[in-house]
Amino acid sequence: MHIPDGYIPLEQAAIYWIIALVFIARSVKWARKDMNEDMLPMLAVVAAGMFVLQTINIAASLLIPIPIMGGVSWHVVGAALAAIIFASPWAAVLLITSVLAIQFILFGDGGLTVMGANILNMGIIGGFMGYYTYIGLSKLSVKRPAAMFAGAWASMILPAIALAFELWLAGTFPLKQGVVLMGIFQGVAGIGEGMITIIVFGAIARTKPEIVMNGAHNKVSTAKVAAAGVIALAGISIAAPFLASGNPDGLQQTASMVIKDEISSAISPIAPMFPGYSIAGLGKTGEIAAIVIGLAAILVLWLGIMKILKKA
Amino acid sequence: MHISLGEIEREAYRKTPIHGIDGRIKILMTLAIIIYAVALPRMDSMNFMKLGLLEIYLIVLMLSARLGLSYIALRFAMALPFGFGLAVFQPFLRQPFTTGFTVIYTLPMGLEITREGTLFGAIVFSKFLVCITAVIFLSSTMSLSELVASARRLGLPRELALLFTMMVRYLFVFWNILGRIRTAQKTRCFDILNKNVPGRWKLTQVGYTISSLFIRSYEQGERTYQSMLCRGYNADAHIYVGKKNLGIADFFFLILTLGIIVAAQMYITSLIVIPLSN
Repeated sequence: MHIPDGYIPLEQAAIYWIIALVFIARSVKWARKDMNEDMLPMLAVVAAGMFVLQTINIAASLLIPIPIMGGVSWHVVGAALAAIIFASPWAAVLLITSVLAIQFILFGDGGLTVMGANILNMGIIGGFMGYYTYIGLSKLSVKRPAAMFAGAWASMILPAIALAFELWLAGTFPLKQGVVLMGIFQGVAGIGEGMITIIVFGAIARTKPEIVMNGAHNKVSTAKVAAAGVIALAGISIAAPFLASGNPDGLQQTASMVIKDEISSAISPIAPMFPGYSIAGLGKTGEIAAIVIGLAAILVLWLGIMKILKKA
Repeated sequence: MHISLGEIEREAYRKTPIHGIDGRIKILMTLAIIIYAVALPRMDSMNFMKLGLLEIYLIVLMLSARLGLSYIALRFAMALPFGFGLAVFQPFLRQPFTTGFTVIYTLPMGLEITREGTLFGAIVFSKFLVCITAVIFLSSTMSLSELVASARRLGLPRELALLFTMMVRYLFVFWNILGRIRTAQKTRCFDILNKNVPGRWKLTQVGYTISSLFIRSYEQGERTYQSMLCRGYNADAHIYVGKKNLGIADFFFLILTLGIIVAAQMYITSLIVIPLSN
């Protein structure tokens, strides 16, 4: 689920690019310095493998046994998988960045101005949150497959929610509908991602045990996991008021409740960006109708394109 | 289903004057077109003329590069769905950056199509279309390795240059390996849509395919890295990129593209504004 060019204004896209560049630079440093040896050339080859394995389309009917899903498919992203195998979320940032760049050039997936946002979602949020979910649960003595499934699922659903927020900030898609739509797609795909991650990790651990790091959770300090948890919670707590409130300016409401009048004028420059973003229609019925119609439209479009591609 | 990498490379290796233009110029041109298209105002109906001019220019370039029509159609069909899906919603939405919505059609269940929403949907889709056309043009008129070399000449950092140079070198290797795995599965009658086999087993087989690809890429990476070390590679090593001078045709092409963008911005605006002001 890549954001395409044009859907995020340049100034916002630039902010995402800056965040992404900081993480990319750090991930290159990780590959060069933090490992025992310079891993960059090796990871470049693995990135090529990752690109190709993302082209394997898996029928959605394997996850949801509904006849209409026959032509719909999903593919593995592998952010959590890469992070878990290399025992570092930086591996996910580096590999997903490389894959996204080539996917854009060869397949037109995503875009150039929005690549920073896509890297932020899939590589950074997906890699870090997926990895630290896995490590955190392992530390809590959750069994490895369960922790891995949760990590992989988090690496799919959290980027989808981030994407919904980015589109909302850009003014191109309403928040609640975005979270529901992207959440449904990625939540289902995340189940597949989780299962595939368990299978792939198990297969690699059996055939080439030296490349997977067992007991990685013992080597990661609890403070790091806690920090990742705090960041995730902070993100959710900032996001929640917008989702929970009928008005999109829930943060302003919350802030004004806590700090009274002064703050509302201080943060007012943010407010014009998100005034009453509503779907045209009558309250909840309109919202639900929009989601259903949207889902149907995308499904029909998807099936049509698959048919054309199959014929070609 | 994806277009095969071989098909993209086949188009990229054609010999036409367009293919012959220096990679740096084509990268700069694509960057300029994409940034210009994205930077256009969100709710200005004049955008259609500007974006239309750029789109026509890009299509003329693609046709002059003698790219196959079915190939171009397939590339568009692959790239458009998500962006198109997002645009389809826009007529029903009330965009926060504009006011005064005019309802032009009311659907059952209280859904309303607004003029402003439709305009924004059409504009955002046009922007997306131009960007996609630009990148299809870029990737179809130069090989991936040339693209990376050109990016290196334009100042792509050394580490990223190494990463992408090696990555694109092995893309085709793993693409072929996946092709071989698929052929092997087909000869054993493996069909992911076969209803007589448990889904869990099919998923496991897909997982094994992915594991196999991952392990092979890992092992290939190790082998490649070791052979690089044997040849004296270290972290300070540079990738050699030969010098390439720009010719008159390259400069002409760059000026032409920038001229088209300037014309789109200045001339088309004045063309519309002058009659209106009269």
